[in-house]
Amino acid sequence: MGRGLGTSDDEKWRLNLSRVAIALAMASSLGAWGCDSEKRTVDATAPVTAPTGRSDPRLPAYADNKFQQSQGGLYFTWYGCGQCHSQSAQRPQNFSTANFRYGGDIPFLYQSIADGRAGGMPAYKDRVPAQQIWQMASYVKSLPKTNQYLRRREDLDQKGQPTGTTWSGAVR
Amino acid sequence: MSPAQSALFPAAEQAATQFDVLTLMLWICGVMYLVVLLFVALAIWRGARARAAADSPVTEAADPTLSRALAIWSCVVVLGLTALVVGSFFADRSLAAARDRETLVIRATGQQWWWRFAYRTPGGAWVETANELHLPAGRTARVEVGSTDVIHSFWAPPLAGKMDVIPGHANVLDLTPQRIGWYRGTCGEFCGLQHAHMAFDVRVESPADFDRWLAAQATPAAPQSGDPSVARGQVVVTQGQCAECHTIRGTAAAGKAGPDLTHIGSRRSIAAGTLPMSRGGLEGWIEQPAALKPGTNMPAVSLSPSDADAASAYLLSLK
Ligand code: HEC
Ligand code: HEC
Ligand SMILES: [Cu+2]
Repeated sequence: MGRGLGTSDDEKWRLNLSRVAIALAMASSLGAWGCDSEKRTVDATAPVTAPTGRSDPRLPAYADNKFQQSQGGLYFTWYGCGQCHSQSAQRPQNFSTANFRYGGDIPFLYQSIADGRAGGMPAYKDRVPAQQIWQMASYVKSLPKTNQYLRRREDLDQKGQPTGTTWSGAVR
Repeated sequence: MSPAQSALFPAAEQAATQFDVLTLMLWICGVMYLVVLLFVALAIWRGARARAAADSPVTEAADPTLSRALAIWSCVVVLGLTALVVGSFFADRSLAAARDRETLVIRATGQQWWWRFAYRTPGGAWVETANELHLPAGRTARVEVGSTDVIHSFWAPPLAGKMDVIPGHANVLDLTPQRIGWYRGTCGEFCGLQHAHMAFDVRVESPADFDRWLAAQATPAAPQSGDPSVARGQVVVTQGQCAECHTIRGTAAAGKAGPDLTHIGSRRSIAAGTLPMSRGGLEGWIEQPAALKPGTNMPAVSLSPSDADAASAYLLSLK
């Protein structure tokens, strides 16, 4: 028999060490490749207040997070925002360009949704919990970066969802 | 009492048909398996005998009995497979056949992660409820299943096999329950975080009881004024944030995103089988839905403890 692996305790120990090292290297490279933007937070802790400004520590978790954006898209449909903005949020402002009248960062978008705007945007802070406003702000922020193919996919995903006070059955 | 969620105790014609196919398969395959084991035992025994007779391997002369047995065995296999094909063909035909007592149409919609049920009343209107399916014994209900989001599967094992629930497409399945009782159905296709908490109760009852139940479900919620806590709860639920997502017929609450709560107090469980129905359960669910069902799309609405308590009292009063 040749020199097999792990014949002595010392070699076993070294073998285990290298296994751990490989596993650690794989795990850290996954992190480095950026699955961060898809991280989901499903625990019970959710924001219950408005963003305090551009340095609010909760911002990074919402700003470019795919999960929060897609939840925001779902609530955008559920709360019937599309009745005025169209489902892809093209009216009355065209949200698909970055020209937000009141600012395209989450704190400003949050304010637009929570407190309403003079030009006919209703205030939602009494009707919608803070976390959902955060998510919808994150969703609206993502719209200028949503190309037409993604847009089409999102529209199809949302097609069967109830919206506002209407629901006529799942799409059949 | 038979188990509530077992295909081995059929409670409807459809499940009984499938159970018959299972029985047929069990018998045919069981007998075949025994015969194979018998031949294996025979071969081992013969090998041992031959080894005892001579040290060197022996070449046996062709045995006409064995060849004949092999031919017979092939015939038995073909016959067994034919019986299975014929059996499943007829079971399939009988499941697909239209039934003459088809009177009831129910729409079941899978959503992440609960079931919306809508009944067509004799008057032609649709009445919505959620997470609890009532069926009249001896009558056939035609269930149209659809989805608002991803693929689910409608599965009440004592009643019938699984039926896929596909977005953008209606699948139809007939249910003809025969045995009165409570059963449990569930989502049978992985659909995301809370797939495991996407169950529904099934109540099979006499046609008279069923008609009474449907008539009660069709009525709007009665306004509450007696108990001050219940009255406060009515304000909290029907005029607050809950109303954006939930409908309580007869009040201002007309949201469509979440389950219809008009008669929530009459249901057996909360949030698709997550909790048994109770006032404490309702209060816990309202205050922290994500703690009980992580990932649920129902958000936590900030309410003072006394308002949450009042809301749960009101919801429980909606029988
Ligand atoms: C009744 C119609 C209506 C509904 C419903 C509505 N909006 Fe608006 N919204 C408007 C109008 C009109 C404006 C433009 C206001 C202005 O320019 O002063 C606007 C502006 C906005 C803005 C600011 C855009 C900018 O240029 O800065 C945001 C963000 C927004 N809406 C998000 C939402 C969301 C999210 C919802 C659903 C919760 C919603 N809206 C529902 C009518 C509506
Ligand atoms: C953003 C929409 C939304 C809001 C706001 C909301 N809910 Fe819900 N609710 C849902 C959804 C979606 C479900 C189904 C959740 C599940 O089972 O995963 C649900 C489930 C429930 C259930 C269980 C229903 C059943 O059939 O078992 C109750 C009770 C309930 N909600 C009460 C409330 C109350 C009370 C409020 C206000 C304090 C409220 N909800 C606010 C969306 C909402
Ligand atoms: Cu599922």
